[in-house]
Amino acid sequence: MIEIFVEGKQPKRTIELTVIAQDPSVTVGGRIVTAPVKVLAEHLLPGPLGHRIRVVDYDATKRTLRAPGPLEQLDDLTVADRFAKASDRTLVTDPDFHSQNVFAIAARTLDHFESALGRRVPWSFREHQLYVVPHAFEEANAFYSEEDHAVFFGYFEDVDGKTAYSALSHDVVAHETTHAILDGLRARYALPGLPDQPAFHEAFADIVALLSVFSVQGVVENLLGTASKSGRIKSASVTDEDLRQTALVRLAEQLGESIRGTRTGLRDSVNLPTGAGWKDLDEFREPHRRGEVLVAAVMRALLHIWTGRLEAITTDPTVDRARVAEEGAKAADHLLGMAIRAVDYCPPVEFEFEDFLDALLVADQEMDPDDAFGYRAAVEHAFNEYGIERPETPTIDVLHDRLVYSGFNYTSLRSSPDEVFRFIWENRATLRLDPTIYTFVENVRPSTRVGPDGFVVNEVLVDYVQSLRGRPNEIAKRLGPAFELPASLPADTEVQIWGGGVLIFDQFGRAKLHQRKAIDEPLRQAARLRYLADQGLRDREGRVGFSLGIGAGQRFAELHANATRSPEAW
Amino acid sequence: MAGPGRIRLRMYQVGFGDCFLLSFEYARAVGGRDARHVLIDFGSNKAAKQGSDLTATAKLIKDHCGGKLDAIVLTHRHKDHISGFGTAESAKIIGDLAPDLVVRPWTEDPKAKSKATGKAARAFVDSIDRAQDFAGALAQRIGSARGARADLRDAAAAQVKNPKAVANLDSWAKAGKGTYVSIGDESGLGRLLPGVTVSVLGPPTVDEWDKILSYRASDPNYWLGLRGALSRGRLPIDASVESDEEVPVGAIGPERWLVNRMRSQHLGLLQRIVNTMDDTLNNTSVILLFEVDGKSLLFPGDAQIENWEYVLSNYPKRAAIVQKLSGVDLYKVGHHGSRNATPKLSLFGLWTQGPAARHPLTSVVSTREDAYPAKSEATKVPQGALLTALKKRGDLHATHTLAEGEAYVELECAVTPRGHFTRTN
Repeated sequence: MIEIFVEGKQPKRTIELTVIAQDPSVTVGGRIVTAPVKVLAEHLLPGPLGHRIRVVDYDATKRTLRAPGPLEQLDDLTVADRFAKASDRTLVTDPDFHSQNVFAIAARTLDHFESALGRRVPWSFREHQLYVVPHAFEEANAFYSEEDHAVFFGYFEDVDGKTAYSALSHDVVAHETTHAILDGLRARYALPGLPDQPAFHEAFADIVALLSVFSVQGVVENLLGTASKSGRIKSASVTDEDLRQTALVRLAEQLGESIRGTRTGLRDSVNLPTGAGWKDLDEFREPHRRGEVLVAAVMRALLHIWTGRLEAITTDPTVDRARVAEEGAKAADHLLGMAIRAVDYCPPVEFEFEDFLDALLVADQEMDPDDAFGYRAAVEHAFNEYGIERPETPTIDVLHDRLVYSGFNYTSLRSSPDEVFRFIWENRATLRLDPTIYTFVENVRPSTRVGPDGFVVNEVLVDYVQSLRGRPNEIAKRLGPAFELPASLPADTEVQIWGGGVLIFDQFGRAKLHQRKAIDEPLRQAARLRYLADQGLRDREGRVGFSLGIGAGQRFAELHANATRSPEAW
Repeated sequence: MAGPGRIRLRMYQVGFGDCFLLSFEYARAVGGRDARHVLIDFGSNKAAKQGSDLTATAKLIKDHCGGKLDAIVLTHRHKDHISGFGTAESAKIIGDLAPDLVVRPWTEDPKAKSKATGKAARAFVDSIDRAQDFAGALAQRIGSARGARADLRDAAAAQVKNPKAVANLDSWAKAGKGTYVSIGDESGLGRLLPGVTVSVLGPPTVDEWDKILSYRASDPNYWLGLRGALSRGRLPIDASVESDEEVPVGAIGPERWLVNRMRSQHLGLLQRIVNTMDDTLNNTSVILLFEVDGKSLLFPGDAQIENWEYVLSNYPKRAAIVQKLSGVDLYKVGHHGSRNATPKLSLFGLWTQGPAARHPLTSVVSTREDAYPAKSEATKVPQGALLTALKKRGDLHATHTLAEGEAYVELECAVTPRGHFTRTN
């Protein structure tokens, strides 16, 4: 018998599931805006339970574990999109839809990362699956809890007696999932560092959330406002400033509505005036507030890229609204990919905003050397507008340095931290690393992706850390006279300082780039210790620079529940 | 009329709580009396380890004011500020001192709900009541417990209403006069204290400053819902990591692991709810500034950053007030020395800049070190960094470092000729 090829029967890479595009409060024509999103096809179980994301509907307030509804299996890898035509009432009240919504948005967010990075992305907790809990408790809060391997979404009754579910807010789900993913990529960002570090966790989660909402089909078009009968809007109304007002400000306001009071940061971000003035203001030492600067810079880059893409099509007095929206969604999608790839090039410790700019530019340069649309210039310009410049010690090209390769095993170098450590050991002088300082290779991660020219870019990303601990005066002695001991640090405190970097190997196994935050950097170390001591960020034993003394889960919970961890506090 | 020649302040050892007797002494008797006395708060959450009880403190107050109180100020309704007015023996003694005036924040006014102009303000007043009902029910449900559950119970119990104390304050206010104040109001204290100007710097009303609301606290339905959930046994306050009598939920496997984790997480959630309530009540605190011929004293109750923020950054008449605050001579440390109640930049910052930095500042703090179960150094009460900073600015007098048997700290300051606050006992 000859097997006949039947259209639609071959296994798919993705399936479509309906999600709420933004939030149930955002309606068009009186109806909640939904959109189908693509998630990786897999053998799903009811829950939904997938190989990376496991929805568990336990409600700790009601103390009930709800059994999920059945999935309608269309074929091996495809389940029916049960809620494609569901009524608004069903969307809001059916817990199975809530489960699908969190599953699909979390899976889509993870997929964004995996396709941009060209590899599977691990969770920080050495398990394969992340629990996602759509009705975790009755509280207007949602947070990632590392020790529970979970992301929790709360719900609450609002003033009118209606229940509001954080699991139905697209940006909240994407934001919390991003915390979990970033924690897997850069676990040390949750530990005490420079003020930019906790700010980055919040900012990056917001950036991913905003850009991913932006790239959902139909969202931008709704934001752009009314068009003429033929679907056109004035070309003069799509300048940087117009689009900021119509698209970004409106979107931020809508997202801000989703969980009252806890998400006003987005609105503040898109309205943040350009300039470096924030650096001198104490209020910007608070992580959320500080993070707004980075969000603002990326949103500005989005506007620059978007308007750049529109130049060719706005020569007539009017322009097709759908086309403007499509260009916006494309710009967002591209920028999201750039932002995600940049994380691989960011230092594993001692992160500063300028490192993110450097990583954005270098990572994109490796992927797309030509930059035909001028994306990198747009990004650099936007960051510069907020006073964020490339660092004085940027990522350096080490391809032409005299590095020793003889005796190394190419395959081992792609997978073994010990082999990479040996490489660092043998090349310490060229790499300018002091071997007497504790040094540890934490991750060796191969990455494969396809550049815009269709060719494959193969890389191995290695991150290592260095650390020293001792009394403040011992640290001062080690770092030399330029290190100014913070006055707020008692002499008998035990402190820990860090350095580290990323080494990037090319497809031939040669080290090509070195991103480095030297441990012997007295000004940075002094700034970090001053910040930690001033903010009272100590561990349970009163030590500075080790941990924050409470579990990461509780910390994120507090940070979100109480968005005003003010610089006015002691 | 001649003003007072001397100011005397007594801070009583009440453990974790506040109790201050502020006295103004006149060289020439006014109305037949040579001193006027204001009692600011009288409560305790956790008695001092070897301290006197509330009755003994009340007797001391009676001695110190010579049998007559001019006014009582209740900064806010928390147990550690009000309990002395509710306990039968201590309240009897205070009642006999026949205060002429009782000053309380606007949120205590039974008519606040009908007077409030906006929906938000009405809901807020309503929600404080509901929140306290919830706290009471929560504390009761936990009952006897150890560890984290006991900490939660104590934190909830500290929020509970004290109807006896409120009734007593009401009856004293009825016999004399009662005022409910918000920023800029006339408290009535000035009229009772010849030569003393008293300004009310907080709390703002909701219409003026909605930051004193936190989202949850402003929603009575939320508390109602929690209370309902509690009475229906839905809130798993019995769940804890220590308890193994729990009925397991779900089939064995990964879900069971998560469910067990979430049950212990829930204690953290309830703790956050109680913390929010605590912050909200603190922010209803009356902030008073007393001024006597070049000397000034600041009593902010437990006001936290959100309450302070209005007068320091947004109040239309703030310029003159900020000017006065920078020259304060005595500061009652807000909220027992917690990290959120002495705004580091906008208030403490005033005392470290320009000529104000050379002006001696005396601080008094009534606190107890182990009353707040600190999760970390950062949330400890009192905050070491704050106390250290205050000590650098001048003398700091504290109750938690008093020796066994020391029942109070007494400070005096001459107005004419101008002196400093010095300890006299």
